[in-house]
Amino acid sequence: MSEPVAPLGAPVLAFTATVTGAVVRSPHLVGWAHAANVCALRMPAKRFQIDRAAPSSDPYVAGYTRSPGARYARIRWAMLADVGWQSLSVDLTITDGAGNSVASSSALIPNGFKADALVIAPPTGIPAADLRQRTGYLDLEALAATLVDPDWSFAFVVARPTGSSAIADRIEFTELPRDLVSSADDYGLVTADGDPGDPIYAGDETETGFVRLKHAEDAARLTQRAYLALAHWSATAASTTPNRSATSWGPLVAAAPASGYTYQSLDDGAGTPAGAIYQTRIRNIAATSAAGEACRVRFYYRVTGGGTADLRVKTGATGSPFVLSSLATAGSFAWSDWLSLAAKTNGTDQLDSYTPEAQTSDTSTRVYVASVQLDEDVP
Amino acid sequence: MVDTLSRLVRRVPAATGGTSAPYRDGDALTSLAAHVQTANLNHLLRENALRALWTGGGWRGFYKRATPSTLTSAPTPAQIELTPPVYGSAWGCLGSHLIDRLPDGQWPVLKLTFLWRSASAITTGGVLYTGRGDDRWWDVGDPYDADVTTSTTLVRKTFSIQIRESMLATIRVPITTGTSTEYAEHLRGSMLTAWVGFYNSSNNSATASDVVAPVLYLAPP
Repeated sequence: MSEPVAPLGAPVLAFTATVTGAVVRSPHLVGWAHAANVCALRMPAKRFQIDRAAPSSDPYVAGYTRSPGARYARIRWAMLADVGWQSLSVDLTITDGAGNSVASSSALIPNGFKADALVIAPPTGIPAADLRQRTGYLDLEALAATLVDPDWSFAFVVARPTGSSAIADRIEFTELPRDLVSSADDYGLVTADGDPGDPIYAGDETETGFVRLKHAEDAARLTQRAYLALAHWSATAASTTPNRSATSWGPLVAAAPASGYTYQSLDDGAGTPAGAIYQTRIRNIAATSAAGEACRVRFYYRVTGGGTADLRVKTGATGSPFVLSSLATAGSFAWSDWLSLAAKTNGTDQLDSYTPEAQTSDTSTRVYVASVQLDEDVP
Repeated sequence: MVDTLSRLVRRVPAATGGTSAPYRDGDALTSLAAHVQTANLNHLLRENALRALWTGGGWRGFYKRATPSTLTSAPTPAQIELTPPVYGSAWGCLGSHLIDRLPDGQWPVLKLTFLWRSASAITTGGVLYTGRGDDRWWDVGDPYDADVTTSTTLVRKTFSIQIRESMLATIRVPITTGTSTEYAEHLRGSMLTAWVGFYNSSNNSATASDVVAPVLYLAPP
């Protein structure tokens, strides 16, 4: 059985609805179910956006770990060109942590992400949707049949013909809210069988009842936030990718691709305090404190020069900084292991800061970071 | 006050059956349990609606003037030059986002926080603005937040816009996955598109400005 998820929006849950002396009956369960379905199915938070992706034979890589209950995602790229009739193409391959992959030739990858060129006439980046962008949708459930490891990696290769100066203004990936709740899915409670005169029944985790409601609430809790999604650099061991070669901790610095070119970096350009200070709102699950909430981070990195490198993230939580040690020299970029960390929840606006830094074993060794995936990791 | 505990109260670990099951037919669901259930869901409705929307690599080394070129005050969206980064401009679409009301019925606040600085004797200006709906640009009359800085050291700035119903458009789009033309569900909700733009009063790459570590997020009103 399935039905729309809370078509009227999230309900108002008043404490006075359930009071001593009044029987709790099915309508209460229905109200809670609508709220739990909204929290679990309508508010996914995983999203990344790659900005100003200039064509490169090396891919732009972003990490993604699917939220419980998430079924669909939207991907979109938009072209930025200052001269008319230029073209650009984007090719998408998705791999998982076990090495399984879905190439753009698969029917699961939408048109527009199959290296099929898009031609643009308008001279600026102002929206003219059909002329300058491609949008498609991914069936995450279908992809998961091949990509069995939960940690996925999206690799976008941006290309343009000789003579074109167009770039990808942005590549967006957004987990989508569910439109339907179904008893056949892992999460969500169908309310249609709740008779107003009936008492609440226990049910089970797989289909109906109060236990299924608590299961949906678990999914709402486990819908982890994406706190940092930085994938603005192609996986190239070059000065334009954030990098560091020093035996002391400091920022990863990227250079401009050309003189006078506005660019992106992971450092603050000042050196003190080292590194860019990203401030993100932290979801409060336990209680507001400096001990904070659990997060985890992984880096898409490469070490050259024969030595090793360390990466770390500083936050405001007890236990900071959090260090990923002894990353070895390798011939290509790869995702690091997950590094567990915490972010405090007692700051103004529940904000905490993330500062990525690096050091190397010697000055002949250099570490490059092309992508950062920092997610909430509440148990 | 709909979120009385400001935290999530966990349920008893999964039962192994028999009388250890926390919720069984025939057992009383107490008023306290019902209150905790309401508090949990109100807390999740609030916390899940407030989230980071976009994180960027910043705009480093920009020097493009606004229009008019003499501008040294807080800009409007229309005064930012929307050219590619090769020309030293600094602007961007920060994505189209579905926005949910908080459980008390209020819309959240859209905030963009970052560090910025100017070169000596140079003014740097910036503006956060939104378009109604999916991949839409700003309309004259829509709210925005703008400011300038002349600081030569990095200082934190947070642009803030209280979201209103009129800033959103309701969308309902069929989701057709992969190369299929058959739709499964709809993408529906209230959506806005966020934009930001900056200028540097010098128009000289030798006196460029920096915007560092920008994060767009939803905060409580």
